[in-house]
Amino acid sequence: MSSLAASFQGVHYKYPDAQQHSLAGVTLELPEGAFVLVVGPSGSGKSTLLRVLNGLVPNFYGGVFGGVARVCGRDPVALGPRGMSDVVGFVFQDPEAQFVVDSVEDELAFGMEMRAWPQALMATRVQEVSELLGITELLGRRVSSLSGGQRQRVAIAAALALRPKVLVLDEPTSQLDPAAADELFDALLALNKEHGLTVILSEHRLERVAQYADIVWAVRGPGQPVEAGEPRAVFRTSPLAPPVAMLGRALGWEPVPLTVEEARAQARPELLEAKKDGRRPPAPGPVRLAALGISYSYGERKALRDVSVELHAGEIVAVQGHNGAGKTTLLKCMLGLLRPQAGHVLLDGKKVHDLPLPEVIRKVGYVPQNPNSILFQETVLAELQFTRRSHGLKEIDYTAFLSRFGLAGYAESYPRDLSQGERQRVALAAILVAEPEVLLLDEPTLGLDYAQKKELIGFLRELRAQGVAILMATHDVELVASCADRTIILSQGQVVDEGPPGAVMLRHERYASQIARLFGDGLRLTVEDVLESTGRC
Amino acid sequence: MLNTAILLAASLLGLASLFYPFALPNAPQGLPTPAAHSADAPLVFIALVVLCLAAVAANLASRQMNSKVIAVLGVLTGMNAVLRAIPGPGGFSAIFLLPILCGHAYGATFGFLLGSLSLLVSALIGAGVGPWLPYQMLCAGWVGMVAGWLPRPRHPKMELALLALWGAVSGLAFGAIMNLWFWPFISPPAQHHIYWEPGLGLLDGLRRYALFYALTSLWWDAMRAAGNVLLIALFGRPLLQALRRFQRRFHFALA
Repeated sequence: MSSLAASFQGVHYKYPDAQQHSLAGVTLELPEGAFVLVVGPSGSGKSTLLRVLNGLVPNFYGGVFGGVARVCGRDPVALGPRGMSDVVGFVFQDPEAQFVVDSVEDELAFGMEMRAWPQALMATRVQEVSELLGITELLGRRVSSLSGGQRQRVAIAAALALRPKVLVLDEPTSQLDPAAADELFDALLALNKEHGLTVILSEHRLERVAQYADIVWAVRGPGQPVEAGEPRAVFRTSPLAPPVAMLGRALGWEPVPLTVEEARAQARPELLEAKKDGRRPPAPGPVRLAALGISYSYGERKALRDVSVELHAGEIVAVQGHNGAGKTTLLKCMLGLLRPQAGHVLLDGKKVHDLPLPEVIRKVGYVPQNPNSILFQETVLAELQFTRRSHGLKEIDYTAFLSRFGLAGYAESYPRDLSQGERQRVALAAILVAEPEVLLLDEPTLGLDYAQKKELIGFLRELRAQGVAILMATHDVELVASCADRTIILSQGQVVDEGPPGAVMLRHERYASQIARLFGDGLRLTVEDVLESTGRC
Repeated sequence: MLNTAILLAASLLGLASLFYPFALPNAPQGLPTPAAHSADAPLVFIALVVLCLAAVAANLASRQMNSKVIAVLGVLTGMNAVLRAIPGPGGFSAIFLLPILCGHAYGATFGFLLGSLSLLVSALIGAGVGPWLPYQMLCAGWVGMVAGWLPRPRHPKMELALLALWGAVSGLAFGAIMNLWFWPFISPPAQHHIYWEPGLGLLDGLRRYALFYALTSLWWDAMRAAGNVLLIALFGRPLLQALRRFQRRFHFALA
């Protein structure tokens, strides 16, 4: 009988000045060495639950805490993060928030420095964790020069350097490309199975992780009890489930499949064989934004090499690729934020760098990867009003507009106090309220749950129907599967493939959605597609 | 309790040091100004720094402060020390804005510590160390401390008006008290009617000081007072909001 890594008894918690409890009556037990997946809608209290594990809640956030929490036999509430740091490693949603020093190597050593470990041991551990996470070549780099995914891996390595017994990760793969995410899960699985590390992670992209978990904690919503169970049992009823499980539920498969392989074993041949018409891409409108053979280097490092992209009115184009492949750089060049060293960018046929800035801003909206960087007003409402006013647009019914983003209740909230997913939506709303004709999105589904993603997809489709040209950099293959008309694969700054998502997914297994991998016909990419086709045959 | 005792001790020490020259039968007059208090200022300075640390320790022990509050105090002290470098006309200084707002939001002790420690830090990073330093630290500390004692009117505009009023009053009072560290020590041959002479009564002394203040210091201090009012009017509201947003995180309750 193994002992408990963590236990909660009647835990409840309320953030300072909050109207309602974020956690209420949470009672859970977790055996040592388990691999736990925490699922739940955005803003349901997943992050709050995780933060109790090392005492950040309530020690850092204030508020009112009740009940008993024990992690590795210690009381995180009494000891605080400092007293828990040697047994609980923590990786935040936004890795940037946890970096202390400039260089990657120093960052990995920081925790050990704080504990005054001998230098030789620190050097060994730095080497060990950087090999584990595949970041040895990054050791000499500055943290600020890393891509989002590289930062995430550095943050995980830093958390592992102290060899904690429990590793807590808050949406660790949200900024990773599919390959890097798989590598990360392989590494976590090895740590879990071979070293007995207890892993607790929250994740929205369940298709990546459902099969690895021993236990799922389903958080229904703020202040509601957390249900613990076997993955298969939870995903039979949970509103949040990986695409193949959703498909299995819709078609009455038992047991509910969690992986493509399990689904394939259950699917009847006629379903696999059934064909449907490919999605007809909309007739492209005029070219709004075009990059013509652009190249961009950060000092020595070439980020883009001779890239050409055309974006038409009324189409959604995805840009996919590894972390550090140049997706964000491409977006920034297309917006005119960065000036390519070769080639040029045309907005409606005119060079974007020759245009006056107000004209570019009036036409092009850009939502960066980190929503914090564009949120600076006191309230959510003020963010929207600021955008409208600075564009010289007249006031609108903001409440109705906010409710489209599931933000109706947050008009008076302080934007930076919201959850990651909520902030993402505020940033999106603040840009979209200016009614841009060209929209550039960097990882728009970061921190969004399935329901919100569905809403976003509906919204993007609606914008497309209105003739808005949308270019989005994303790792989210399910997003690409459900709404992109074309996708561009970047690798090391070059375009290596381009075409309709179905065709590209056939050629690049890594960028294929679960359903696309299940059927392999390049036509059915989402659960929606399959259900439509079965309805027809 | 301990807290109040420490602040009281620091204040009494400073007052005693400022006022003892008036009681001397043969004040060391005619000294060049920088030599005033050259004997006792270092002692007052050391005692003051020790008392500041004691206040922090006492607050930590009684759990009124924790590592988060100390971190906030440290960051704000650094910021305030840098703010002193902002040039302005006359005695204008941006250094009183934060002690007034923080003292009001976080309490008298925090205000006192922020005021006196930021004067100390700014002196070390360039504003200059001299026998005036302990008195500057005390006076700035008092500015923050009194801000902490002010009531909090329900209406935010009233609150700002009250703080701005204190900004104006403290701008003048800061100069009036600071002058005392050298005033009893100077006595040039002419204009002796505005300087202290040993054996002068309280009323005569006050009359002379009032004249001295009006002639030499008032204009200078008026600029400081006006600067305080302006800065509080401009930045008071958003800064108070931000400070209070952080305050909610300082402590948690167990239910």
